[in-house]
Amino acid sequence: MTESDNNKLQQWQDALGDDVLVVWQALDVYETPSPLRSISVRKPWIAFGKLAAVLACVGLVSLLQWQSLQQSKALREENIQLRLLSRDALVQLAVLSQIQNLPREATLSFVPQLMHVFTTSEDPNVQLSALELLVRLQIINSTEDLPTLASERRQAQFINATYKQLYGE
Amino acid sequence: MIFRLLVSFRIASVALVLVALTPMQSSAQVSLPEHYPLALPGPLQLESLDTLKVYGDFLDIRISPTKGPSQILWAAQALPQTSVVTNLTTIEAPVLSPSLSVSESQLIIRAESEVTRYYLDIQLPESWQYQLRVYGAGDINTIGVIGKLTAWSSRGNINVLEQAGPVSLTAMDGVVRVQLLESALSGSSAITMNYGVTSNSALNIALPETARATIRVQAYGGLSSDIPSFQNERPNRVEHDYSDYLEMKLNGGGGDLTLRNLKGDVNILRALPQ
Repeated sequence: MTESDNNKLQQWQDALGDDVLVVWQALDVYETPSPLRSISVRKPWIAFGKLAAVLACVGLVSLLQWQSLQQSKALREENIQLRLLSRDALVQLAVLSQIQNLPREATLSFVPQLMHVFTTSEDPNVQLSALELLVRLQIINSTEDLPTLASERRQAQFINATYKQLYGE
Repeated sequence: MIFRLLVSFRIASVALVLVALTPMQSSAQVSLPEHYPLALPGPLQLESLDTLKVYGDFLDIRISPTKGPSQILWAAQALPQTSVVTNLTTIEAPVLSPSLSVSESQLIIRAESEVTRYYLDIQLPESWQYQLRVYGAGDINTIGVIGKLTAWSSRGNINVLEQAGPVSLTAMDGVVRVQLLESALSGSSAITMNYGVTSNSALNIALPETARATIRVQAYGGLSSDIPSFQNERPNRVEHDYSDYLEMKLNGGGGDLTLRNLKGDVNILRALPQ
């Protein structure tokens, strides 16, 4: 104990008498509270502004990504449509295979082109691939839904007969 | 009686005139295997072409690409005609040569006749692509085609050997036998076969053991294969509301290959090394 502490203890003793030690020891149990620190008052609009800036950046990046995805999707759809209308049967076969792996919602956007390919193609394999997609999408559900085929008579007969064999009446 | 004689005389004289005007053939049957060459475009024009389209009714086609000079040989045989009036001599229609034309980068041959059966033996540069259609009846045989090949025959067999490019083949009432090389499986191919009233007419396709392909099969019968990698792999059955097919990947998958046999089995065979 320092001299200052001794003087304080003497003052406490004069005041409290025999209870001084109990009180004095109790004072030592608790840590001396740290001095009060001054709290700087922040201006609320600065915090709000920072948050808004962060949100704006996140939103901008998300918007750019979404736009990029939409553009990619549009380009992909345009590419698929162009290739569906190709006069090369093997190009059409390749793009029909690609469409088969797309989700149903994406495939629905190609229904007009699929119908066009099915009715006009001169290649039976292309017609059968397009027909399979149309059946899977439930655009064609029975022989009554089969459109008139522009292909050569025997080819049209073959496709109609194949539909009945594969998918029933 | 006199009227009927006059009619038959007039028909015969018309036939003789047609024979005189039609080059490179006789009015009677052409006995096989005597072939005649078709006059092709000049070498410079031929170099600018890359696709052959053939349309025929009763037509057998054989294609074997060549590194040498191109040539197309044809033969024809008048189909038997029966006269409605029994006491008139049956007049055989004169045999006309197939027509040949050029459109953009395509050479087009039409052998369309309901009274003549044609035979074409085609030897063109290796890089050419082929689109072949036989509307009536006839076989299509190719060997060593490097480019794309699309072919359908209304009634006849399709035999494709050593095919290096993708294919779309349809035998509406015939048997298909195909041998694909590894390069043919880089793109999408499809083969459809429909033959016979009874089943057990198989679609046989030979693939290299090391080829990579994603194969989808629709078969009225069963699916068999002697390719080792298929021995340990069961194909996935993909089911839809109205149809199902088997799907399998050869060596991890690759180009799409769709096989349909509407009346029989599909056999995927291991091709012998070249």
